[in-house]
Amino acid sequence: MGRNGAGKSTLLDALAGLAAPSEGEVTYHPPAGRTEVRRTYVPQSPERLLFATQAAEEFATSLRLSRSDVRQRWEEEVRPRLEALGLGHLQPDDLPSRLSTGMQRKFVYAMALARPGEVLLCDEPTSGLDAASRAEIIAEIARYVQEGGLAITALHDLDDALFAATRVLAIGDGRLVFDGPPQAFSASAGELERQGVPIPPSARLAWALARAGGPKPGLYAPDELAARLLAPPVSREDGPPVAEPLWESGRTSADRGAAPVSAAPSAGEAGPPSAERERSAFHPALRWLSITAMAIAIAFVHRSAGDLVAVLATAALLVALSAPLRTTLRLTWTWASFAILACAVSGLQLGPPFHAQWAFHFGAAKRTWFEVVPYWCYLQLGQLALARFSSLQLAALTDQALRRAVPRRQRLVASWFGALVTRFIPAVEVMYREQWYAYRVRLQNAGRALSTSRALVDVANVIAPFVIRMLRFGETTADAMEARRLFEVTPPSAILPPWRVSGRDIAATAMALVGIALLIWTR
Amino acid sequence: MPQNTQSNVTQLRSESNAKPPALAWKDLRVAPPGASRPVLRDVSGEIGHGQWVTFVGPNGAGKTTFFRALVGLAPFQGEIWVHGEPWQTARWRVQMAFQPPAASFVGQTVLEELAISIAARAAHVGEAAPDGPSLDAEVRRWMHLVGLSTALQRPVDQLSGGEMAKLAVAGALASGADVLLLDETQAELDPDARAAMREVLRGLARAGRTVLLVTHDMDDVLASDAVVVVKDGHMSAPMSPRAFFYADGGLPPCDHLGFAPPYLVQVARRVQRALAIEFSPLSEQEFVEGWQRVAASQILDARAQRGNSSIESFV
Repeated sequence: MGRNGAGKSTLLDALAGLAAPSEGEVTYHPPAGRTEVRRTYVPQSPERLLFATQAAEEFATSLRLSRSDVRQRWEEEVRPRLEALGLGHLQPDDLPSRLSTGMQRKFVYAMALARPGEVLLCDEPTSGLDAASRAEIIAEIARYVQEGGLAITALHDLDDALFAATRVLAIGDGRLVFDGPPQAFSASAGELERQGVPIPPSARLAWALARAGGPKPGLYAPDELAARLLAPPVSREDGPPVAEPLWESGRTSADRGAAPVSAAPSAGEAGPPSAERERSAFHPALRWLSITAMAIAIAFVHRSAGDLVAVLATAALLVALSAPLRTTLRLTWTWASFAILACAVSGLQLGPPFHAQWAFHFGAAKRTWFEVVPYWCYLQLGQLALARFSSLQLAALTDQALRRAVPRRQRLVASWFGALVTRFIPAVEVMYREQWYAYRVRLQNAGRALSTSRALVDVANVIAPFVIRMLRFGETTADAMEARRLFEVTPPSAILPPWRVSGRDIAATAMALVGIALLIWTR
Repeated sequence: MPQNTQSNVTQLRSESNAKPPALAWKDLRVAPPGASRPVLRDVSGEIGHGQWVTFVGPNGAGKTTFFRALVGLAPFQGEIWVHGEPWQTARWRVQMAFQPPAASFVGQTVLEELAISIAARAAHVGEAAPDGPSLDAEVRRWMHLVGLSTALQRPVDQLSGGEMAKLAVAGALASGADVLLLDETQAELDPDARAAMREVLRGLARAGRTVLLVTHDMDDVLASDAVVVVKDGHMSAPMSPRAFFYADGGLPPCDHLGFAPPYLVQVARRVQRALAIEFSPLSEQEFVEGWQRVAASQILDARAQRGNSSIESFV
């Protein structure tokens, strides 16, 4: 346990083998007669692990059985696990991705506990669940431990688990600050709070009472605490006790104060507003103008010399406008795969029944190559045209640009739609990467390694849940847009950076003009 | 069966009766899209100023549907008034903070998101949008109100869960909310962020706004001013958390719904039962003070003298 950002999830990732530690090592000692320790990891937001297929197929992947085997063994193997979590009514053909988020989470835990490894690692198993579901999950984990497993869980809502746990590890600011049984944890909770460890309500109450002269703090069920409170004063221990932390802290205690609602904004924030605004690099009008002119000029290129000039001019513009290297490389890779495919297709002469014999025509491939090179320029220019605008800047600019040409309603829809695209493309990328992470975890739990061939076959199991998540995300966005009625509001331009034509702008435009001149000359 | 609860709300603070209630609804009937039968049937009720009301109930009972109707996302039959004005004209005063907050942010940075909300309010109210330094000042004011202390240029995707929730609330307030709706926004937050949000909501209620929160977390109910139980399409009258968690006889509504009361409530109930006194604290502070009074009043010594000193007979 520990605060958000203290390192719990990172530690679990390392223990599960999904993240390699930069120092030190994680060692598992297999029991006698086995070569390795199998770990089952259920990360945060476990509903990401689902493949958006039928329940039988989900279990088939986790249990490493075929679908028909799973259906045959549904009653003995699968249903008890589902019933323990209140999902006994699910049929093999049901779609777990149609359930509510809480029930999806419970479903993933049912899958994980159907054939778990020797070690179970859970990150926030109880988050987002109601009280009954939380009790069910804790009971299932306790049952798993009773049957001989080792369960390591990261938890916020400690009161659920503190009474069932055997050991508590508290992490504060990336360090281990407590390691001991739950009783000792509650007894030293006052000390630990000063070190930034969140303490559960049971311990908070016990400590508040202890400070007021009540019984010594410890881990008590409600009955026990009530009994101690009701005991006559004479038989109680005297005075507020001094609790000894089991872990020595070398730091001075940092007081985490109350929520910053009462704090006034600091003087540093009240500085001149313009200092905080982005220093924009290039006036957008000039930028768009030069890029568009360049793109049109490149369209006229058909020969090798022209191609060379086009590539050089585009590269010069990329450097001048400080395009991010990662995006440039990514677009280059995309273009290269397309180019190779196009050239191969154009140069290849298939054998019978299409033609007389196999052949490869280099001439045709070369011609295609010269046609395809300008597309690299277009991709990079496209990146330059849209890059480094925030969503609101794009909306405001679009609104201003279309003001005289387009009626109000369509103009506002176009502007806000542009804003949404700009805002959510990076978010979509994050979701996509998260989906691959979830897929890796799923494979590892089933005891398989991630390989390219398997990934290619299974790509639907990544794409389908990703699309569903995006659609759900988009539903909320649509709701918010409608409720806020943004399509009737002009994008505020008050916070657009004060773009001014500067020397750099002129230099970049001049470079573009030189490039265009060269292109025309090579024609 | 229609539930007519045109009750005067538990006014826990003295308010002048001349002010119309912040939110009033009469014979409201709402069906979510695609549903054949309305989820809420002929409900009526009202909520006064400066109240933080939590809505609890089983899933599918109609809480989300009610909120969606209030914010204009679900068609409804019946009447709704916001601060005495009909909903159609005053609907901009009811704003919702959506879940997940990241999906509802259109601006790329904190400053942009709040500027958009401010511009939206200005457009709907018919004023000119603020500009330059006054915009800055207003944005800082909203951030200070919710306790958001991050840089203005911070991208919204880099905020923590708690910060995103605060920004969503700030955006709703900047959009002109007098009535703030939060549908299960506490569910994905860690306990620190939840506690911070509770402070924010109390502050808003104290300042005169009305906050409606759908939650499953009993700690939120403990901290609120009133709680409404929504079940099978019916909404109860707002009751105080004390009435929700503690009952004179029989089952408290909390247990009746199948919720687990918070730890301090469980302990307090046992003490209350054993001593047969009024002991219904809603916070640790109240618990400690109440228990100190019990200790000082020598009830416990009297019991010991009467011979009830063994622990077993209490619990």
